[in-house]
Amino acid sequence: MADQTQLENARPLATPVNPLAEATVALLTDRFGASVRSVVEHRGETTVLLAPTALVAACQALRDAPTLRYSLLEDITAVDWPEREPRYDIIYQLVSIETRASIRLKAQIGGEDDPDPEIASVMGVWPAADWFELEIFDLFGIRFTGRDDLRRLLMPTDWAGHPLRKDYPLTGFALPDPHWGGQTPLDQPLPPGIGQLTLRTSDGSEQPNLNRRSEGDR
Amino acid sequence: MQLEDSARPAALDVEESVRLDERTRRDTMTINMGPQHPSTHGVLRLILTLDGETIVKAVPDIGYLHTGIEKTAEAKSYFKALVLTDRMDYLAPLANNYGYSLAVEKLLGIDVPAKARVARIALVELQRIASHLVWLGSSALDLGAQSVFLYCFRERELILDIFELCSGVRMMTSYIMPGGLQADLPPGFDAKVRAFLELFPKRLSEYHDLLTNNRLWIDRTKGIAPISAADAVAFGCSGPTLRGSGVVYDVRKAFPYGGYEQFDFDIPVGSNGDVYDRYLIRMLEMEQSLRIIRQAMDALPAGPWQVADHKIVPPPKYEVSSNMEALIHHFKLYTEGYRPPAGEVYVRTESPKGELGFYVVSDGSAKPYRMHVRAPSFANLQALPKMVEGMLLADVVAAIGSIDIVLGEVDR
Repeated sequence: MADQTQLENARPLATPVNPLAEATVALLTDRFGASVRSVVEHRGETTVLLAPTALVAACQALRDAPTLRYSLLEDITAVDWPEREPRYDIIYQLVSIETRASIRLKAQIGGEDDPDPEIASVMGVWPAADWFELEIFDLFGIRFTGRDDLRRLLMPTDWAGHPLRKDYPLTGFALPDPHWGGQTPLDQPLPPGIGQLTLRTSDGSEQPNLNRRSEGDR
Repeated sequence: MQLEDSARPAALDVEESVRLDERTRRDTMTINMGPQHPSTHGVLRLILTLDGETIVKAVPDIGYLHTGIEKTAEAKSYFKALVLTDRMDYLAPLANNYGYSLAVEKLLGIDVPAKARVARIALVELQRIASHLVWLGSSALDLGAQSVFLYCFRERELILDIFELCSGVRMMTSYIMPGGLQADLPPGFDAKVRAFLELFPKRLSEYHDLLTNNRLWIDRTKGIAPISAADAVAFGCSGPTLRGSGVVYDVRKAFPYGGYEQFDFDIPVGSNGDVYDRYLIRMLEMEQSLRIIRQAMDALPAGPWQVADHKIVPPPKYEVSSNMEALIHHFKLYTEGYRPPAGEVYVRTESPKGELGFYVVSDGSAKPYRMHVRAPSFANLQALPKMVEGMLLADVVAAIGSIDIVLGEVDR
């Protein structure tokens, strides 16, 4: 039986201390004042929205600032907001091994008239950016300039489309929608297009596979 | 329907990716290692350019285990997306559950009761030992030490027994959930963990006897696949792979979370950044994990193991059939889920492999608008070419073992 002690309310989460975030914001506004679009704090985490053009210089400055020394690029990722202009957030998560500072940088790119947006690579600042940028290119279709070998990292090299975009359906494009075809009784043929697999060949063309159920394979 | 793609990239061409100058090309050979090679610990493919037995260039090709976990999570409620996290680092599912739960709790702005906090730390440290045991067994097996593998799996089974006692399953437990634990710690948990704490130090010293001063082991690992501290940081390494090079960075100490600041433990740090140092660090980390578990078991308080808010955790099953409010909560939670306020959080935790980060964006709806996982193996694997270039082909096997990758979380 649940006793009364189990029903005590959850304590609110203490806001973690992030003493160097202010210094980071001060440095960025001092050096790139016009490019700092906004500074947001949520749950103790500071996010600085930067103009995409200032991003690489800002990263360089944060890495080399002697009091901050953002030496470790933890993560780069993207978020797709299809109704918004600009459409994509690119998020950089930085941390300093020496000073224990942490900050999140954000740049916004893309939109109606820019379906294949570009942003400068930060591989020159942190080589760690390599695979994170390839992953974003692969899954969001955002191109990173100033680096070579932009290729798909996770999806097959002949894949079409960028799966983490919000307009890419969860079930994918190659399968009919809905791909499970509803509930068709076993003794009835499947509706056209359902249960068919599309073979992708190495030269990029597609061959429809045979519908096994309609061949009487029961 | 086929998506128009204006920007279809060129296929990954082996020749292209291993483009070398004419002088070296004459004497080199390009071979595939994997994706079905047993020592690549899953489905990792390495495109190796060899000059005799020496690695001239190594290009990891990943994605063979890409399962679209981040995309799938966008279609699940926060409550249901939990089970996806088990399947990323499948050798340390509780560590993934923990990172995800902390991220969702941060989005919600709640903290869990003391019992859940302490029990979670005991559980993830047990998980760390279990994960390191698989690493130790399999990386020793790769280098020809077969008996270590069997011993490690014997001890790992003891830990999995504890997880099974708690959750009913050995591996994909989902036992740590946003809001606390799935169920109260079972009777017998304390005794079982303490029995393990009693037994394991002896077993650990047996592993040391088998390997640490073993001439064959030292020859295969000492000075092999080194990476400098500067390179390890630049490539975004974390965990034992980073600390092996002498960088003192452990998320549990640098950015304490979930109550780790109340525990007394040390961070083993290497100096040479080679396979042997990374080996030794994980061996010492298991000792430190034992220390943490011991403290956690002594400090484990009584009381609730979940938050009391049944909008976040399901009400007890017996109440669902007798209490109208509980029935509503049950129904709403399973059909719709809860809605954290709009915002974004990044929560970093120290998983057995390194820094595991969860970046979760809420738009105020019941499903995560975006869930991105910063997988430690993903970043650590990037540094592999740096480690193995100039080494022998056989050393690649040692290097892959030493960075302890799990392709489930590399590819997600």
